[in-house]
Amino acid sequence: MMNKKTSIAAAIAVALLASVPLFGSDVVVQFGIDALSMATLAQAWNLMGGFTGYPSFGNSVFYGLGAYGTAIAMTKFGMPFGVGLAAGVAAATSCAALVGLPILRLRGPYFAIATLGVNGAMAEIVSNLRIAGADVGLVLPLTRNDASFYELSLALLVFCTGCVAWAATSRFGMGLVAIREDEAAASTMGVNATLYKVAAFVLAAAFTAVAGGIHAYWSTFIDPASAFDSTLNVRMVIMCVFGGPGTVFGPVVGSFILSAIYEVLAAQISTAAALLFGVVIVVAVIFMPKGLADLVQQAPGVGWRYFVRNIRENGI
Amino acid sequence: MSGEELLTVGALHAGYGAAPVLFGVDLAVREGEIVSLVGSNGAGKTTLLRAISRTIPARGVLRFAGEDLLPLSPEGAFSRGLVQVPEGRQLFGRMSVEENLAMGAHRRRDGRVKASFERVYALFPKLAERRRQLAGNMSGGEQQMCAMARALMADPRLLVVDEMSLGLAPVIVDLLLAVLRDIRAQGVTVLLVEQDVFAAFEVADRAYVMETGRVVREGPVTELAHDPAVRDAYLGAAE
Repeated sequence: MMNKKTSIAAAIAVALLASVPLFGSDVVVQFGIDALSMATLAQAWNLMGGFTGYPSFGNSVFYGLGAYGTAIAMTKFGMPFGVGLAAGVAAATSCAALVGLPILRLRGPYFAIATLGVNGAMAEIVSNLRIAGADVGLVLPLTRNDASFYELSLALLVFCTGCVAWAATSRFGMGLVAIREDEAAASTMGVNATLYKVAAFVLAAAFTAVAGGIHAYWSTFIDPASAFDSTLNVRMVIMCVFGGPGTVFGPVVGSFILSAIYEVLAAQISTAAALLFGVVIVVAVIFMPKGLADLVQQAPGVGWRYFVRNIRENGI
Repeated sequence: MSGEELLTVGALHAGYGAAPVLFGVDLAVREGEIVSLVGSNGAGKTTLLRAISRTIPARGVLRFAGEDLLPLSPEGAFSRGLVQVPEGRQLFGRMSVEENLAMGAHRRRDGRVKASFERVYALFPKLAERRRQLAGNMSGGEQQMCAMARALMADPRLLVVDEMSLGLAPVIVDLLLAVLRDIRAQGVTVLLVEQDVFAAFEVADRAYVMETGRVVREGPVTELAHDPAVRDAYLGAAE
């Protein structure tokens, strides 16, 4: 269970974040929406990549399906936003279950490649669907209320992190970790590995789809290239791994920090930002391969030797 | 001291795809017994265990505590108290001893997990000393203890131990055999699958000898140890 101190700190953090639209400028709120949604994506990826040990490159499929489900329901059927989100989640979770059953038999790089393939295939399918606007895309009804989108994104992140916190201490989460550590041993210990993996995949798909739906309505325009963007999936991986995969708060803190670094770099030096961002990530992977969460736990005891040890263990 | 039949295997056929391995195996384990299953490599011992733990399909009779096992999933069999200590231990190497033990109890819903921890630490004091150590960094004997302790954390009715002595020093094997007796004294029935017939016969009440997918001899170990065929095949000339 989460201890009292952590819960209080988390509650204060949420309250502070929730008050941002009250005094923050438009730019800050818009940055906040992106950062919160990115943190949700990293957290959802954490369920599969961090806890279960299955590095998915197919989470962008769920993001895209969430965005398209919402957009199609709203523009073609005149449904309200909430129904749109539900349609997006339904599309993404059924895709996760259908695709997950066969490809969750693959491990490691093979699983990663298969999920990458699913993303490419889904982008092609959608760009040939008339109802999805083919490769032109869809324009959603215009709304200008950044504060509500901000609070909605925050609520989603809090709910998603709450689910991960629950999973971390539940039978379900223990089963996922057992699968990550040794799938054969997990089966011997009475873990139904297939069921657990598909359940984690479906749960990750649901959160990712809601984030995609919110983003679609907020940005008011989607097309296949932006909705099924595999670089978005790479960002989920980077942010989760930077923060600490398999931890509850690591992915959230990690993605906040990386989003902020990227924003500052982009504002200061525009074009070279991506390059410098890459340098930050390379340095992070070399010096703290287990993420921020491990750094915070271990470094106070051993100081700078923490980094030396990591480099040694990396064999660089 | 032996009670009702806990595990009943009757005319069991099983195999992998089109390749049959077991040809009508009959075996019974009664409550409170230590039963040993011996046989050389390829006799079908591990296949029989897989069929019992429901990881491969099987035909025939398979009952556990009066209930038909055949329609159950591996998790179903596990939850009913049929727990294996797998060959090769299959510990979670990057987890501590204590985390490994907690994994053993992860399907339990009763509130007595804490008592189980105390019970297994009493059986294996070595593990209590090493509870914070990573399971993968321990010696083979300690890993075998950890695997047995993890299985006990599931609160089994029947503990199935596969190749317990493999690769362990004789002094460790003796220690583990003594623990098996303690485990039985606590009311857990034991099915011990062994290639080391000496070790198996030392602790078991009864034994089954398997060859090429069939049970070829069975009986109390005191009788089997003097059976000329068993002696020639497994115990060598030493007496």
